Amino acid sequence: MSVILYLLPIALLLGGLGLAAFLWALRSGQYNDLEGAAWRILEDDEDDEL
Amino acid sequence: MTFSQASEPSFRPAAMKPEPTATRVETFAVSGLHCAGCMRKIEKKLNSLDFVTSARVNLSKKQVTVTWDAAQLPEQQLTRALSDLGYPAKAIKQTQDHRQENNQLISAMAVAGFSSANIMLLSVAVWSGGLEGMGAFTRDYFHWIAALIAIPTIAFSGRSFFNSSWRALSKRSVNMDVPISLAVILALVLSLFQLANSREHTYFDAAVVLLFLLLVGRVLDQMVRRRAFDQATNLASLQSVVATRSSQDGSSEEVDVQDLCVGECLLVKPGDRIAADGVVTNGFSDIDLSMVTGESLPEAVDAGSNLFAGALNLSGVIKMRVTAVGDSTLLSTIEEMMAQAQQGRARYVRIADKAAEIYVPFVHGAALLAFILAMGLGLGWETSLTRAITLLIITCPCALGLAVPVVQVIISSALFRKSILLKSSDSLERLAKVDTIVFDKTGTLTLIEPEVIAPPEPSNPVIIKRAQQLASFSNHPLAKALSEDGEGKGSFSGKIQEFPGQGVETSINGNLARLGSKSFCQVSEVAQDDGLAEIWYAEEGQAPVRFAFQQKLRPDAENAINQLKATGHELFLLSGDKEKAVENVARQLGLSKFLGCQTPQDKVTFMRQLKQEGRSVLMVGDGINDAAALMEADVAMSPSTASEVNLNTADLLFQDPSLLAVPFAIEKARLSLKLVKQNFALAVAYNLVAIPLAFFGFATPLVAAIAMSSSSLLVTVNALRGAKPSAQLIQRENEAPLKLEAIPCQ
Repeated sequence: MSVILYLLPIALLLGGLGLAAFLWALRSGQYNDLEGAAWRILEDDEDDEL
Repeated sequence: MTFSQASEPSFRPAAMKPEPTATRVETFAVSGLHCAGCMRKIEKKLNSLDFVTSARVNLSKKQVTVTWDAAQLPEQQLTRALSDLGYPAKAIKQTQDHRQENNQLISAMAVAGFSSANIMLLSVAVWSGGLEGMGAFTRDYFHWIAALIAIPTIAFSGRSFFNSSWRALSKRSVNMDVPISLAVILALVLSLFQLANSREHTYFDAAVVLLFLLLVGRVLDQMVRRRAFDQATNLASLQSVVATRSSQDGSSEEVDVQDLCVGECLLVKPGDRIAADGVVTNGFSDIDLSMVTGESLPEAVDAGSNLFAGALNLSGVIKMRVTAVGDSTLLSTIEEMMAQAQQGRARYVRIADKAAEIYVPFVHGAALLAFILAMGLGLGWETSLTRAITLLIITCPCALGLAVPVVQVIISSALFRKSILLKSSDSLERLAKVDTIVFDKTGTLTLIEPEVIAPPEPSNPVIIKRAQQLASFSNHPLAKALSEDGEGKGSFSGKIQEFPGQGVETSINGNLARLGSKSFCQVSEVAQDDGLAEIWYAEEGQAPVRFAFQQKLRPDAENAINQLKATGHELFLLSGDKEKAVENVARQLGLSKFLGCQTPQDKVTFMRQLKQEGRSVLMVGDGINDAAALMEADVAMSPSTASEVNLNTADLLFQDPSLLAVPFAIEKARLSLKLVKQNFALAVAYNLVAIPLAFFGFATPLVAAIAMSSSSLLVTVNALRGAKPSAQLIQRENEAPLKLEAIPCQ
C-alpha cells in the first residue's frame, strides 16, 4: 500500500492542474461571452478569401 | 493562432494601420444587437475604420469593446459609425470592480469545491478505515494531506467572510459572517492541534464544506444581480443624450452633454431630447414634457420659451441657448432631493441581519456556556473545547446563510422570465411588505401615445376623413394618432404646409383648410373644458370640428389595478398633469384617490406623509419628476422606458408594456418572504434539536458537519418551491361605486 504515499500527491497535483486551468480561463475572460463564441466559429476568417 | 485572450483582435496585418498614440479602451452598449449577423457587421465595420486597433462584440451582454486611438478618432465618430449601421450605441462608464469581484467569488467557490471534494475523499477513507482497521501512520498521513489542502483553501476562499466579519466587528456590530468565520477558524485550529498530537479526529472537512456551501449561495446571488445590473446599465446608457452644438458660422457638431457650457447655442431636431435647461432663441415646435413634469399634452414653444433637460422635441427644428448646466439644472435639483431620500432608505435593516443580531450572541453564549459546563464537570479543557466547537459548527448559520440568497435567486429568475429586472437584492423583502401603492400617470398607467376618444358629434364623415388625411402630413403626436384612426395618407391638390407648434394647412377646392390648435384654426367657439388634448379641423364654409384625445392606458392596466385592490393594497394616483386629465384616468381605472398638478417636491412630501402614517409604500413611476419620490418610497418600480435617472433609481424594472408586472412582482415578493421565513423556521427548528445534542456532548464535530449540510439541503429544496408557476391571480369585479376625492389644484 506504500504506493499511496506518492500516488495521492500525484492525483492531487493533477486535479490541481485542472483547477488552475479553470482559474486561468476565468480570469482571462473565456467565460465573458458564452453566446458569441458559439456563433463566431461559423464565421469565415477574412484571410480565407485570398 | 493562439487561445491566449478571449478579446483577441481581428487578424489583419498590423502594418496596415498607423501606430496608435493615445490608445483608449471603451465598452459601448449597443441597441438592436441580437444575432451573429449583427455581431459580424459591427466588428467588420469598426475594424475597417482607421485608428481602430480592435473591436470585439460581446453577444451575451449586447456590448462592443473597442480599442482605438482617441487622439486621432473622437468617440463620437465611433458611435456615429455604429448608428449609421443601424445600431445606436453609447459608451458605458463602468468600473472593472464588478467583474473582478464576481471572478474572485467564483474562484473562491471553485477552490473550495475542489478542496472539499478531495478532503471528503480522504475523510471517507479514514472513516471506513476506522471500521476495517487502518494503521495510525496511514491515518495521520491522510490527515496531513487534508491539512495541506485545507489551510490554503481556508485562507483563500474564506477571505470574503473574514473581511466582512472584521468590518462588522470593528464597527461593534455582528453579522452572519462572524459565527461563520469563528467556526471555520476554530475548527481549523482544533484540527491542527489534534493532528499535532496524532489524534483520531480532525475536522478539516467540516470547515471546507461549510465554506463551499456558503460560497455557492453567494455566487448564485451575485450572478442574478449582475445580470439585472448589466441590462439596466445598457438601458440607461442608451438613453443619455448627445447634444448638437451650432456655431456662429452655421456649422454644427455633436458634443457630449457633460461638455456643454452656459451661453452655448444648441440645435434641437425633431425627435431629439433636450440636453440642458435653456431658452428657445429661434424656431417653433411642440415639446413633450411628460418625462419632466408628467404633463401629457405637448406644449407649443417659440422664441423666449423655457426648455428643460429631458424634454422631447416633437415637431420643428429649434435653436436654444443654454442657461444652466450641471448643478443648477432642474435635474440636479431633483438629484439633490434624491440624495436626501436615499439616507432614509439606507436605514432599512435586512431580515438576515436582523436574524444575525439575535442569533449570533445566542450561539456564542451557548458555546461559551457549554465550555464552562464541561470544565465544571471536570472533563478537561480539550473535551470542553471540542464541545464548544461542535456547538459552533452545528449551529453554524449555513442554513441561515443560504436561506435568503437561494430564495432570492429562484424568485428573481422567475421575475426575469417575465422581463422584470430585480436590481437590488433586498428589495424583494421590502416589496413583500408594501401596503400602499402610488402610481404616476403619464408613461406609467398610460402609454405615451394618445388616442382619439370618439368621432365628434354631429359628424360629417367626409370632413372627418379629410381631417384624418391631412393629419397624416404632420409629425405632431396628436395628428399621428388621428391619422392612424383613418385610412392612411390621402392626396390633396393644394400645397401642404406645416407650421411647427401650430398645425397643417392646405387648400381643398380653393377653400383654406387647417388642422391644428384652436387659435390656428381661428375657432371662437367656447367648448367645455374637459382637460383633454384637442386638435381642430376648420375648412372654409364648414363648421369646425374638434377631436379630443386621451392617453392610451397601458395594456391590462385595469386588470392589474383590480388585482392589487383584491390583495388589499391601497392605491393612489399622483401626477404632475392637469386635474381633469388625472381624473379621467382615475375614473377609467377605478382609482378613488388621486392628485393632480403635483410638482416633484409635492410628490416627495406626499410620500413622506404616507410613510409617517406607518405605511410601506411602493411607487411606480417613470418621469424625471418622479425620481425623488421613487427614491423616497420604500420600493421603487419603473417601466424600462423610464428616464435614465429612474432606471438607476428603481429597484425593479419591467420591460413588457403590460402593467400586470406590478401585481406579479408583488405576488412573487410575498412568496419569497414566505419561503425565507419558512427557511428560517426550518433552521431554527433544526438548531433546537442540534444544540442540546452538542451541548451535552452527544454529537461529534463530524456528525455536526453532516447535520449542518443536510439542513442546508433542506433549505435549498424548500426554496425551489418558489420556481413553480404562480397560482392564478384572482380577477374580481369592482363592486363598490366610486367615491371621488379630488384635491383642487393650488
